[in-house]
Amino acid sequence: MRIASFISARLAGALSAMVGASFVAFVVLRVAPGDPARLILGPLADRAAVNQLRHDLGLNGSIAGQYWHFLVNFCRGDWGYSYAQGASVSRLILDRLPATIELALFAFVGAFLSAVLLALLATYHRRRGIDLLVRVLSYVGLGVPQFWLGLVGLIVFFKAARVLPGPEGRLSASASPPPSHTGLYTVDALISGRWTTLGQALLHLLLPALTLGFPIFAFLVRLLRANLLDVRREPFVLVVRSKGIGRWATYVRHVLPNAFLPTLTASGLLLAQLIGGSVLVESVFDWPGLGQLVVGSIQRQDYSVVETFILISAFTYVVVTTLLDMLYGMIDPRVGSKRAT
Amino acid sequence: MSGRVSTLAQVDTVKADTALTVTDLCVDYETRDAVYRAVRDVTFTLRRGQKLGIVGESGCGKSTLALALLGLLEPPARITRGDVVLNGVSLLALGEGELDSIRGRDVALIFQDPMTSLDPVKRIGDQITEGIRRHQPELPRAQIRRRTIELLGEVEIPRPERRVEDYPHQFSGGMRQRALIAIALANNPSVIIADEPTTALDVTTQAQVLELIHRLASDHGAAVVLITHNLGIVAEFCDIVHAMYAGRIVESAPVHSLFRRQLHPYTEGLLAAIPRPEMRGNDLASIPGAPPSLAAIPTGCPFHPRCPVRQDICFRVVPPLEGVKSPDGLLTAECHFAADRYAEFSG
Repeated sequence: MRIASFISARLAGALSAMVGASFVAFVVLRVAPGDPARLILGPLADRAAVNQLRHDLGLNGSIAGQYWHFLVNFCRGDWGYSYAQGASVSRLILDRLPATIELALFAFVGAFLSAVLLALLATYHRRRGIDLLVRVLSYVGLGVPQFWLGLVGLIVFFKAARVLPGPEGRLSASASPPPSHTGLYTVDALISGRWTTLGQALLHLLLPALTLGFPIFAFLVRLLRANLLDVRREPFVLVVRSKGIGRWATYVRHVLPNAFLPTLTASGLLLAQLIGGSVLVESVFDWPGLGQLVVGSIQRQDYSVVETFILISAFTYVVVTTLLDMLYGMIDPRVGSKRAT
Repeated sequence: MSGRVSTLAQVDTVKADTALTVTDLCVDYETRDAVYRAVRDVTFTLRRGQKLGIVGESGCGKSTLALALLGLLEPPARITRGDVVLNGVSLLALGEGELDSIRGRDVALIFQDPMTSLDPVKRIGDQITEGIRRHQPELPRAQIRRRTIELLGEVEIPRPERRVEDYPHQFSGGMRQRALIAIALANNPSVIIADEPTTALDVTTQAQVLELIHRLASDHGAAVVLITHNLGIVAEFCDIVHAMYAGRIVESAPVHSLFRRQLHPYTEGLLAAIPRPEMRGNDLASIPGAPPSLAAIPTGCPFHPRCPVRQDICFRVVPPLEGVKSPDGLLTAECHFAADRYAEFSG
């Protein structure tokens, strides 16, 4: 009963967030100056043709009517047509989403696991060396611009050492992508048993994922380190130790779970942000992801692509935060429970 | 040690029924610039089943002593001298792993603040089970669970078979302290260190919890070291009292004797500070001044700046441990005038 009402409250909140996002996406872009019909037809087209196209695009109707059409079409999976690129929006986005997701997952999983491991090591022994290393890494990761880091990586590992591929996207131009099942090259290569392609895909992922993941690692390791240091001073840690539980077991079983919640929240939000793609990192590595598509579309006032993108990001955020809330409820019994004695 | 009067402790070590012996224990906090001694030459003996009280103001080294007895001091605190012998085994000779296997089995802890002493994200039952499984891994799951519920029942948690599934935030302060007592009793330890076990509770709960610790410790055959600032609690609970000041035990006596005559003016001050109904309307009595900082222990008798009956000698000479044989047993105090004060009380 309690759980059901907790979940339904969360879902209602998620739904209203989505509606709000769609409204903002629509209104902000429609109110922005510039005439898409004029942009499509070019400056030389006559006024009648522009008006005809405005009519065909539904741009002459009321804003409310346009919004309604937009919502209905979106839910039907009809995300519009990009005149600027001559392809349906769904085609454009679905072509690029897998590249973004694959990069995001590798960057996130790497950053998350190393942040947890290093935060544990840095705080467990209180050895100055590891702790200092972690703190320096986190300052660098938070302070240095990502694209610069990516460029330095390319100069060192591609240009000088020649051990990693250059800025050529997901695979070398000469290599053919594996047969598509999921769109993630590493997974597809694994499924079809194409080991060389798998290795190539991983090599191509390495630098972009490191570049994209490093600031995330830096943020998470800082957060978790601070929380671990707080929790290990709690009296209950002494009580656990007084039962005869060893230091490491106490640390992993009791200190970590209590220190972990803020890190979990931050991780979810960072992951959702990654799914939206990253313009700078994608540009540096010529990664065919969502970020570049969206920035190009904004410059071309390609409304339908940008609207769809905003809605997809909003959807990702809402899904991730809702999942996080539920996970939270499972990890911390005080969340979502009002009963007290 | 030569030239000193033998203490209660040394007399008692001879007996075989000793649970815990502490000899000349010193604990230092070592910072980069200086070393602070929080516990100084503490010596006492705890017999099996005995209830021993350690009383003192905040900052006198009581809690540091408690952690030292469990081998739980963390840097910068460290035992620099002396010994802690539990059931014939010196804790200082043990490695980290051996200490872990003694903690919770031979010696257990009841901690000051029940609100923060339980892991907030683990079920109460699991927190009790953890200790049993640690020391009796051979027991089958079902039996450990039965034992857990039984323990919760023993500490008088109503409907323990349901409460075992609860989380700490579903327990009141008093119930949490009971759960902590259950954790401490889980493996029938021979010694329980109770560090201010009732300070955070309201007065009615205090009495119940204290009574519970007393009864269960007796049932389980555990000796108790009760650490408190409250002499009133000691009166109800303990057989023997040690008063602690600036890291030293400055007076030791059986509890019924201590309330009749205090050989050390500090103990007298602690006793006078207990509010009494007949003193209603008067100002509450207190010991003037504050306990000394570890960085600046006064010369001579450490208590002299606050002592109402100090003489010239107290400024210069550290008082030796003086012992007085009384009909109640041996009384000891680190005061130049302990013998005179005894004579006054008797005469």
